[in-house]
Amino acid sequence: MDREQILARLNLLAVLPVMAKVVGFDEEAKRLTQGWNATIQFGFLGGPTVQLKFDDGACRAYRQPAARADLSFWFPTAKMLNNMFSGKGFALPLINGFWNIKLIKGFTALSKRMEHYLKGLDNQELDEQTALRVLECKLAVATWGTAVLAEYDPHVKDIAEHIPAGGVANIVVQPSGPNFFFKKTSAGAFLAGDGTVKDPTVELIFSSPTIAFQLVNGKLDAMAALGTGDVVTRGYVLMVDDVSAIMSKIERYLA
Amino acid sequence: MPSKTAKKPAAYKAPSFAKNKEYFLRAAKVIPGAIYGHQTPAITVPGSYPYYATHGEGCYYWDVDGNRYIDYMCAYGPMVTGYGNPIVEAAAQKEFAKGNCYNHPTPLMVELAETLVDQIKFGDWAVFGKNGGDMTTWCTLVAREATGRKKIVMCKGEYHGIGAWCTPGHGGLIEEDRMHIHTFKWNDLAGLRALFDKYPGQIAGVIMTPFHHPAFGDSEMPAPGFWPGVRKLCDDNGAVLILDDVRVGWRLSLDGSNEYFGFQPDLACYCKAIANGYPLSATVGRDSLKNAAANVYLTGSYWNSAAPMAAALANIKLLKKQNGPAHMIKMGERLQHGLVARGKAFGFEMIASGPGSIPFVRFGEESNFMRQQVFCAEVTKRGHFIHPHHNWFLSTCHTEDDIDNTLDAAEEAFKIVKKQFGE
Repeated sequence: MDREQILARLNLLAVLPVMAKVVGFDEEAKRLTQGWNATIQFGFLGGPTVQLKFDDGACRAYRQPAARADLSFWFPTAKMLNNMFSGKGFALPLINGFWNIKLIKGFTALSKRMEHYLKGLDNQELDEQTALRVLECKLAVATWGTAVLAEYDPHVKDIAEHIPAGGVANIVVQPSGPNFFFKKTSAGAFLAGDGTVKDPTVELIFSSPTIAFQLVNGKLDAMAALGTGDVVTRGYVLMVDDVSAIMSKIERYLA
Repeated sequence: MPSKTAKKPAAYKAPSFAKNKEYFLRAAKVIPGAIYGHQTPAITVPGSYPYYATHGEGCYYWDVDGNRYIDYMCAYGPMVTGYGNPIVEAAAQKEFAKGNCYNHPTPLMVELAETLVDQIKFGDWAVFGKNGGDMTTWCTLVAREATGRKKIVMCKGEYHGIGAWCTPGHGGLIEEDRMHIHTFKWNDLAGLRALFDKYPGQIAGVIMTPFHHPAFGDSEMPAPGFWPGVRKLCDDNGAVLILDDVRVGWRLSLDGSNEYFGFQPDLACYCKAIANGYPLSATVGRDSLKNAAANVYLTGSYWNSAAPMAAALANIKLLKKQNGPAHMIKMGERLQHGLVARGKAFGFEMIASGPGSIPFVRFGEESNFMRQQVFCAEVTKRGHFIHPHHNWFLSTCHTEDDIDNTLDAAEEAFKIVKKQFGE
């Protein structure tokens, strides 16, 4: 699988679902989606289809089609989809539901709110609440993105194979989240999600959101943080090594 | 052999690691990861283990906070006849005083090569390096030089050093690094045969440890017929059999671990137990590979320095005199049996694996090592350094009293594990 194909999957499966989180906590995003009762879906030739289901100021992401789409962005190539996500402009995709021009315009504005949390606030002093929201968005992309790379990126195949089948890593930010889990199923598939799983194979615990923030911004010396107690691991810690190694590759696609 | 300072442990008082942490914080500013590699706190239980040592004596060492430990890791293997062993130290210090590192090797290099060739029955020649990885990597080159082939076969999960072809780390690697490295599972002769069938005439060498001692797992001994089978497959296919005896060497037999298991490799690498902590590694090889070995460049700034070779000569002599492997196996088995028995009294099924001199003991019925980590942390905090995920090491200085004291500490740790996790 080539770089564009992998990046497109990262955009669809790891970045786009963050939209649901943004609508959940951002007042502007909520306002924009007031009155929306629609499903918007995205896909490209040979790739997955992801849906965002809006329900009057709320949003849920589905990594597989869950309903008939009211608006569908379908791209003939992975590169075209990636160009849209990177804001480079793109040839007009096949849009089913084009009549819903208001929804298209609204979605464009909503995308900017997601970008605001994922990139727009980098290198700025943030209040505690905003910092937590940025952390939640970035950690979501990191965790979900790790599952995407583990599944599809041939460059991390050896590392992904090293993760034990059935292994679960909980990623915990003390004192109260955000928390995520990463899992390799017994069949060898990779997935990730919000929250934690009982009886994990390993736990990666950040002593504070500040420390987790350093991780997602690529500024944490993780080994040193383990020694100082800023980061704690419990369980089969080799899995953390594997997950971290894959996670560190996400930046090469999304930077 | 008995330790001079063996005594019953005092009532438990939680150790302070204040200075350990202070140094670690200073290190984190100027050293990536603060402490890197296998000694990183990340793979023990940070906060419950020391980070920096100051000195040692016999099987004991002290950390920067003054906490004393009976050492069941033995510097991860190199300490074999005791920290500060006076006989080994005297031999090394004599060479340091004279100059140690010159434009040339000293006659000690010849003497040590002759000693190893006498000691290791299959060996006709010897060369020297500093680390085990120097030798394992060089051996793969010798195998390629001798056969004109590219591929190297190793067992999954085995550690042979930090060369790009074998490092367990992930950073800085490219796919081409492992293009000609193939793996099979320990004890899986059919798997090895399948590789020879898949790559006929392409496999230069097979490199393996004498028994399987992975981190985060039980040690596995060779199944009956396994080593003769490996030997035959190598012979039938013209591949060089390389024994990585870096970790195990001379803790099973001073003749080399191959003698203990009854087979003959073509090349064997040694390191940890050679010079009791002085930096030295060696490869011993068959005459048939001597010319190929001469064609593979081998050197390093300090590789021929005298003091480690003097230490090795003294250490080898001492190990023979003490019948070192037998003592270490006996003490380690006492530890293994004791932990299994005391664990059972608390309702825990403990799994002991590996030979006594390189033992590992863990909690059965758990694969995530969480109870193991709490247990080992509690034992270590009581002054008995055991690792939760890596095989342990015994030395000729460990005594029955030391082992029994450790078992008493283990009993306290079992109580804590039981309270925290139940049975």
